[in-house]
Amino acid sequence: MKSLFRTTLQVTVAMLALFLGTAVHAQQTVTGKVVDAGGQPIVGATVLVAGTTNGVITAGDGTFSLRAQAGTPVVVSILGYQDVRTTLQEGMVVTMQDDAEMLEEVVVVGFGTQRKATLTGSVASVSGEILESRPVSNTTIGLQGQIPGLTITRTAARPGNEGLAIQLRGASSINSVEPLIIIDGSPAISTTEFSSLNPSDIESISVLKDASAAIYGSRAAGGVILVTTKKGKRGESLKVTYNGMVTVNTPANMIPLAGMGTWATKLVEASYQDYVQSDGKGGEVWTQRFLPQWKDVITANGKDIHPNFSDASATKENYTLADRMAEGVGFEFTDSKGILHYYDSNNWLDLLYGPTLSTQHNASVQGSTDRARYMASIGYANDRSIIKATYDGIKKYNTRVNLDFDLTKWLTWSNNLSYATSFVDSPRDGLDGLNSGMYDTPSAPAYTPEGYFYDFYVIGRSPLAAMLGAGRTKTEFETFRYGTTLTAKVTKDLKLTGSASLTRNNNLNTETKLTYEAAHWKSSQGIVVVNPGTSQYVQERIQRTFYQNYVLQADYTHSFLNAHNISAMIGINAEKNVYKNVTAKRTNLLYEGLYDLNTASSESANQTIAGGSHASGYFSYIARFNYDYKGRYLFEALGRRDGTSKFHPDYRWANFYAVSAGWRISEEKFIKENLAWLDNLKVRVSFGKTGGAISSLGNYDYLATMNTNGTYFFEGGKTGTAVLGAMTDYSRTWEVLQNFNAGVDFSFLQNRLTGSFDWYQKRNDNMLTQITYPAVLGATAPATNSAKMRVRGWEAQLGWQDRKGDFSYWVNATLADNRSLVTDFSGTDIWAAGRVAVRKGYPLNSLFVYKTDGYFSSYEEIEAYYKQYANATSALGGVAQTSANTHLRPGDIKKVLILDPANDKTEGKGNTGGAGDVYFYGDTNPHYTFGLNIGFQWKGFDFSTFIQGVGSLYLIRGGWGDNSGMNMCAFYRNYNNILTTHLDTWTWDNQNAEYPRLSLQNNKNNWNMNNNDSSIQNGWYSRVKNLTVGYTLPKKWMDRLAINRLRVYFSGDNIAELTGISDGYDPEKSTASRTSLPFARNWTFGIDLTF
Amino acid sequence: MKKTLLFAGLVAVSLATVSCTGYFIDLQPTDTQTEANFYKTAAQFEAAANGLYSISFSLDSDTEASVSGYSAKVKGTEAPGKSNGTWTTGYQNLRKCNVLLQKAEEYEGKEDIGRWIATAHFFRAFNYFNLLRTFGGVPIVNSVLSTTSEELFAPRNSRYEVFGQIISDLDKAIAGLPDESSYDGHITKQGAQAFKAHALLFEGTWEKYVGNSTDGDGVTAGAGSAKPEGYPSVESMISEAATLAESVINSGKFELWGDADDKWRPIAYNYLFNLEDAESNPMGWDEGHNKESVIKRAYDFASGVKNGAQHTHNIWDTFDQHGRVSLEWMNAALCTTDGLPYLYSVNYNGYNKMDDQFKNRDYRLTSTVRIPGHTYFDMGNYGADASLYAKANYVDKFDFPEVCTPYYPNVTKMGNSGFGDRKFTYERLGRADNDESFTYSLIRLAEMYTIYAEAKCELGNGSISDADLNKSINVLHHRAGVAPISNASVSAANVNYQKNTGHAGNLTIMDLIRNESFVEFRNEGKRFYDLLRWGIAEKNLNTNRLGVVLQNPDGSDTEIKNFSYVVGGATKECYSEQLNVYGLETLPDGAQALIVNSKGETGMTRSNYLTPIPLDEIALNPALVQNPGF
Repeated sequence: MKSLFRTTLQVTVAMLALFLGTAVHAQQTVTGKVVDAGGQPIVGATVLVAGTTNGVITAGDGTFSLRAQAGTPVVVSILGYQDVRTTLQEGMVVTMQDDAEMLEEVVVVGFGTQRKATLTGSVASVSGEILESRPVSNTTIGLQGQIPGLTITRTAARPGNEGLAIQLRGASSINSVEPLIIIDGSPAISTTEFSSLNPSDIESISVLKDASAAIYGSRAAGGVILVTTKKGKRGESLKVTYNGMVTVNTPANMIPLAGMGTWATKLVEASYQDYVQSDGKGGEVWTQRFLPQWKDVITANGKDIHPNFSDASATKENYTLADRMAEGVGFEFTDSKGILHYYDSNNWLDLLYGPTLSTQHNASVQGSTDRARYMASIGYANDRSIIKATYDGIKKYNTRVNLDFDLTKWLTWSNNLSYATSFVDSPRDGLDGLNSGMYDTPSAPAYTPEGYFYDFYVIGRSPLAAMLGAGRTKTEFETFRYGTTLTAKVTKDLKLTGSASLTRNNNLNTETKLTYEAAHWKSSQGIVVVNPGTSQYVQERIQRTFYQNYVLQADYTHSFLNAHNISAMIGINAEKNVYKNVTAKRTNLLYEGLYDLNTASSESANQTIAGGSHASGYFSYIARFNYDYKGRYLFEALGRRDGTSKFHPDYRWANFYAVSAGWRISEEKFIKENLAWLDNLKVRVSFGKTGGAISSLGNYDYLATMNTNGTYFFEGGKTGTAVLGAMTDYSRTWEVLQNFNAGVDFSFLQNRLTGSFDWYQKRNDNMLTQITYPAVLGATAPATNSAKMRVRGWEAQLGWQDRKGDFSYWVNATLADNRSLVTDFSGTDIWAAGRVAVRKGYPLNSLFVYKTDGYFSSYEEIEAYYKQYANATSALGGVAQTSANTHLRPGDIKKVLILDPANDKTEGKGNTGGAGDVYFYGDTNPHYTFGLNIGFQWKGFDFSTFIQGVGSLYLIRGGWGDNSGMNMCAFYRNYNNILTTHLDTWTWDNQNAEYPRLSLQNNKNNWNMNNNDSSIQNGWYSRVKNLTVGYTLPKKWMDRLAINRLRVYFSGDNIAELTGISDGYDPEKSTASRTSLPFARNWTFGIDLTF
Repeated sequence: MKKTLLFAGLVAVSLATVSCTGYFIDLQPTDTQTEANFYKTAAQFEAAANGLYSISFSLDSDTEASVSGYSAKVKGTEAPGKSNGTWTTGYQNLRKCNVLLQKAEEYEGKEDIGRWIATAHFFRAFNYFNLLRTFGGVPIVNSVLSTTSEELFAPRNSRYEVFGQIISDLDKAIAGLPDESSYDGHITKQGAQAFKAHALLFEGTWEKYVGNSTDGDGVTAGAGSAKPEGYPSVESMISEAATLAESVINSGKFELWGDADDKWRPIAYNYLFNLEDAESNPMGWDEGHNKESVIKRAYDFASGVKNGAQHTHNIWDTFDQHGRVSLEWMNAALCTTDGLPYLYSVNYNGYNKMDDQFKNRDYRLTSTVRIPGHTYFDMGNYGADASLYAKANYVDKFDFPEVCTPYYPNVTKMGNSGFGDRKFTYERLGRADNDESFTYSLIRLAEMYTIYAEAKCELGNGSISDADLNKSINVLHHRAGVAPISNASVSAANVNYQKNTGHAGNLTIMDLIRNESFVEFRNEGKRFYDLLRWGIAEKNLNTNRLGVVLQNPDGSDTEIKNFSYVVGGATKECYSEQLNVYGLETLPDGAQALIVNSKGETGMTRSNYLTPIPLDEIALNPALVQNPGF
C-alpha cells in the first residue's frame, strides 16, 4: 500500500515536471535557481524582468526559466525575504536573505489581514513552524510559552485528559473567561477542537491581546486566537511532504513515595511522639504509644516496646505489625481472625507508570496550477500517557483539504474542508485520588501467589485492580468543518467577500464501570467483588453541535497623494449554534466482555435516560477603519455591535470598540538620516472595550425556567408541581473589559536585534457576581454585573539573530507579568484563612496565612504560649492544652496569632476561619512567566531548544482552603503513605528540621501545616520544554532518490527543569493538585521528507 | 456586467441575511418550560398551586425541653443568629404565592382558576402566620420583587398589619376554595376556615394577654403597634374563631377518630398518630378510617412518599422515649370518674407504685405513655403486623413475641423523666427507620372543639355554659374515656385537691379548658404557642421539669427508686442515684419528684416570646428594627 502510494506520487511528479519542462523549452530562456541563505531552494519566488510584467515563479526545487535575454535586470522577490535586484545569467543562483525585520509580514487580525509594520494593536503572531518544530500532537501544548502573556497550563500529562487551560494576560474576571479561538475565520466549537487540530496543518497563529480583539465583540475579553491553516500558494509547484515520528514517553517527577521499611520506620517513630508531656525538668516523658490502623493505643511507661503487647501469631514477640514492617523485609502474618496476610514493600507508582510509545504520521500535498491552489493533508497520531499498566491516551485522525480557485480574474472561491476524529480511551478508576496508589501504604504486593489482585486492606482496595478492572472512559470527538468563501475584487480598491462556514461536532462519551475481584492472600479466606451487580453500568452520552457562521464584508482601500492610505471594512456576521444531547445508562451488565447498552439489564429500574437541547446565536455588525500617513502616523478604529439570543430582546444589543494609534519614529527623516543602526522603532497605544461572554450566562438568560419535575402527594396519588426556577434579571449582560495598551516595537543593527515591550491595563467594571439581597426577595438573586477588578501587566520580547558564514543562530526571549486587584466586590467580605479567591483590595487567589516563628523549643515556651492566647478560640482550639493527644509539643509550629488589629473583628479572640489572625502573603497566580528559544543552523545541522518557566508562584498544598487529603507532611493523614521528601522532621537532635515534629493526630498536623506561611512553597520553575537536534541530508544524495529534502531529528520534550518545589511534585501541576500522576518526558526520533 | 450581477447578488444576499436576523437571535428554549410559556392553562395553575404546599409538622415537648435541656428561649439565652430558616423559607414561600397570584392576574384563559388562586391566598396567609408567630411584625410583601424593588429595604410592618393581611388572604381563600365532599390533602374551604379559627384565637388571645408588650415602639425596637384601619377587636376575633370552629364541626365532613363500640377505645387514640394501613394497628383500620384531619399532609409508602425520620426518629433521638413526658403532663391528664386532672380527681392515687398514676386515667395517657410492666411492640426490628396483632393486641390478647420484653422506665440517663412516650412512635412490621409513611394532621377536628370551648369561655369572661361544654370538650372526654365535666366540676375539683394535697385548690373552668388543649395536643407543636398567647410562658416554663416521683409524702421510697428487673440475663435498675443532680422537688401533696431539668437553667423573659430578626437581614436592610430585648 505504502509503496503503491509512493510510486503514484513519483509518477505524478515526473509527469508534472515533464509538462512544465515541455512548456518552457519551447521558448528562448535563461534558467537559474533561487535559494535561501542555507542553500535551500525557495519555492514560489517571483523572478520579474524589472519594469515589466514578464516574470516567472520558482518551482519546487527553486529553479526558474525566464524568457529573456541574459543581462536583463530582474527583481527576485518573495514574502519574508528581502528583494534581490540583479541581472540575469544562465545558471545563476540567487541567494535571498531573510527579511529578518519581517516588516512586510502580514498578520491575520480578524476579518482581514494587516501589515505588521503598520499594526497599531498588540497582536502577536507565530508561524506554524513553531509547532512543526516540536513533536507534539496537541496544538495547545505546542503553543505553551511561545507567546508572551499567553499562559497555557495543564493539570496532567495525559494526552486527551490534560486539563488544559488557556489564559491571556492573566485573569480578566473572577468568572472563567477563556480566549476565543477562531479557526480559518470560524470559531472553534471548544478548546478541545483547538487541541485536536493537526499542528502540521497550521500556517500561522495570531493572538489579539488588547482592545483590537473588540472586532470579536462580546467574546473578546479573554483575547482572541486566530488560527490559519495552510493553503497552496500562487505559483507553488507540487510539494509532497511526509513526517513521521516515534516518541518514547517516560515518567518524571514521580512523587517520591516511601517504601514499606521507611514508611513503617517513620510510623513507629511517630507513634511515640503524640502522647508526650513535660517531665518538669526540661525533658519529656511519653505516656502512650498511638498506632492507628495497625494497632491502636498502647499504654506504656517507657520508650521501649510495651512488654505486654503481642500478637499471638507474630513470630517476634512484642512487636506490632508496624514494628515488623519497619524492618523492611516481607513477612506473613495471621491476624486474630485467622486471616493470613503478607506484607512486603511495594511502590504502587512503579506498577502503574512507566515508559510507553507514541507515534505520529503526517502527509500532505501542496501546490498550485494556473487557476487553482491546493493543500491536502492527512494525519494520524497515537499519543499515550505514561500509564503503562493499561492503555491511556488518544488516537487522532485528521484530514484537511484547502482549495482556492480563481473563477475569473476578479473572483476567487476558497474552500476549507476538514474532518477530524479523536478517540480518547482511559481507565475509569485508579487514575487519581483515592485509588491512585498515592494514598495506599506501600506494604503489600499487587498480586497474590494465586494471581488475584491482593486485597490487602481487606475492603477490595487495590490501585492496580481499580485501574485495570474498574472499567473505561472513552470519548469520541468528531468535527467536520466546511468553510467556503467567495471574494470579488470589484474594483482596484473594493473587495467584497461572502463566506459561509458549517461545523458539525459529535461528542460521544462511553463510560463503563465494571466488576473486578480482589482476594485475600489465600483466596479461600475471601474474595471481594468490587462494583457488583447494579453498581456496574454502561453509560453513553452523545452531544451533537451544529454551528453555522456567515460573514458578508466589504473592504475598501485607497491611497491618495502618495501619502494618505485609508482602508475600511464593514461587515455582517451571523452565527447560530444548535446543541442536543442524549444520555442513557443501564446498570447490571449481563455478559462478561460485552459492554454495550444492549448487553446490560433492560429492566426499567436499571436504566436512566436524559436529554437536553438548546440553541444560541449572534447577529453582529462589524467595522474597521485604518488611516496612515506615509506609513508613519497610524490610526485605527474598529467596532462591533453584537446581538445575541441569550438576552431579552430589549437588552440584547451591545457595542464594543477599539481605537489605536501608532507612530513609526524610524520612518521620520531625521531618524533615517542620523541613526542608521535604527531599523525600526514604533510606539503605539490602544484603548477599547471588549465583552466577556462568560459561561454562567445561560442560553436563555432572561427566561426563568419552570421546575416541573417535582411532585406532591395527595391521597389520590402523586401530582405534578410547578415552581418558577431561579430568579432572572433582564439587565444582566456581558462583562465589559476596558483595555488599555501601550507598546513599543523596535529593531536595531540591521534587524539583528529585535524586540517589543507592552504595558497594559484591563479593567472589568461590571463583573458578574452574586450579591446577597435581603431575604424578603424570596429567591436567590442571580449574579449581577456588580463587582470590579483590574489587571495590570507588561510583556517584553527580545531577539537576536545573526549569521556567520554557514552558521546562523538566534536567541529569542519573552518575559511577562501581571497583577490583578479586586477593586470592588459589592460589599461582600466573606473569606477564611488559606487561598481566598476574591477579596476586595487584594489580588485574585490571595493567600491569607498565619505568621509562624519557627518551632517551639521547650515546654515552658508552650506553657507561656497557651497562657498568652488563653482567650484565643482560633486555631488553638484544635490543639487545646488539655487534650492528651493533640496539645502542642516542642517541635510544633509556633504561630504568631492575632496579627492584624485592623482585620480583627473578633475582639482579640481570633476565630477558626482565621479572620484577624492571618495576613496577606501574596497571590498564587504565576508571575514572571518566560520563554527562551535558542537555536542554530550549521550546514545540514540544526539545533534548537525552548525553555519555558515561571519566575514566581506561591502555592500551598491542599484543596481550596481546606487542605483536604493532600500529603502536606509525613502522616498529615495517618492512613496515607508518606513522601521521602518529608522525612527531615523535628527531633530533639534535629531542631532545624524542614518539617515539624511527626504526629499521627490530624489536629496537630492541621495546626502545623494548614494555612501557615511556613507551608508556602515558591513553585518557580524553568523547564527545557524542547531540545531538538536535526540533520538535513545533503542534497546531492537526495537528488538521486527524487527526494527534495530529508531531515532526521532527535528531540526531547520536557527533558529537564529547575524548580523551587521541594516536595517532589511536578511544578506545572496546578498549585493545589493532589494527584499522584507523574509528568512525562518525551524522547522522539523523527523524519521530515519532502518530494 | 458580471460584476454588476455579482454585486446585485451580494446585496440581495445581505438584505436577505439582515431580514432573517430572527433566525439567529430570536430563539426559545427547547428542552424546558419557562415562565414565558407557562401559566396558560388551568392545569398549569393547578401544578403551580401544588408547588405551594409547604405543610410541615413540628414535634415539640410539653415543656420546651429535650434531653439536652431547655430550649434557648426558655433559658433566655437566645441570641440573634446570622440567618434564620423560618425567615428565609417564609419569604421564599411567599414569593411562590405571589408569583401565582401575579400570573393569575395576567391569565387570559377561559378555564376557571379560582381554586388555585384561593390556594395561593391560603398559603400566603399560612406563611405570614408562621412569620408572625415567630418574629412578630414582619415586612409585608405582596408582589413579586426584583433586585431593584424598594420593598427589599422596607421597614417591618406591625403584627396587626400582618394579621390584617392574613385575615384578608384567608377570607379570599375561604371564598374561593371548594367545599369538597372528601378530603385528600388539598386545602379545602373547611381547611381555610379551621386555619382562620386557629389564627384568630391565637392573635385574639395574644392581643388580650400579651398585648403590645412584645411590639416595641417600632423606632428603637420592634415593629411597633400600628393598627390598620378597620382592624378587628379582640372580641370580634375570638367570636369569629368560635363561629368558624363551629361551622367546621357542623360541616359534617369530619369525624373524631375513635371506636363506635368500646372495644378499641382504650388504645385507638394512639394509632391516630401513626396510622398507615391495616397492618399498622390492631384494629385493622386504614387511612380511610381517619376523618379527623382538617389540614393534613398525606404520605403513602406504596407511592414511595415517606415522611421519613420526622417522627419516630425525633422522639427516640431528640426527646428520648423515656424522657419526653413530664410529670406536669402526667398530672394534667384526666381521670375517668370525674374527668378532672389527677391532683383534682377522686381517682388520685399517689405515686408509690410505678403504675399508680396509670389507673383510672384518660386514654390519652394510657394509650400514649408506656405503662411500666406492660409489653409493647417496638418500631423497627420487631414491630407488629396483622398476625402478631391477632396474638397481642393490647386489649384482650397479650401473646407478644419473646423478643418483646416488658417495659420499665429508664431513669439512668440525664434528661429522662421516666415516663416513656408512645405518641407518634410506630410499630408496623416491615418498616425500617425512615420508612414511616403515615399521614399527619396539622389541624384536626379535636382542635375545633378546644377552640370553640376556649373562645366561648373567653367571650364569657371566664364562664361557659354546660351546653357549650357538652358541644365541645366533653366530646373529647367521651373519646378519652373520661367523664364529662360541667361548671359543677370546678368546685368538686377544688374540694378533691384539698383532700389530695392538703392545700386549697383554685382551679377555674378556664383552667380546665386550657388543660384540655395541653392534654389533647401533647407533642403536636401547639403547647409552646398556647403558653405564649396566654401570656404565661415565663411563669409556666421557668420551673423545674420533673420526672418520676422518688419519695412518698410519708418519706418512704417509691417503688421505682429501688426497682430492678432482668432482661436478656442482665439485671437492670430503673433509677440511678447519679441522676439526682438537681435534687428533688416537693409536690403539693408532699411527695418528692426528681428534677430532670432545673429551673436554675431557665430565664425566659417577655423578649423571648419572639425570635430575634436575623442579623444578616438587619445588616442588609438597616430599616429592620430588632425585636425588644435583643
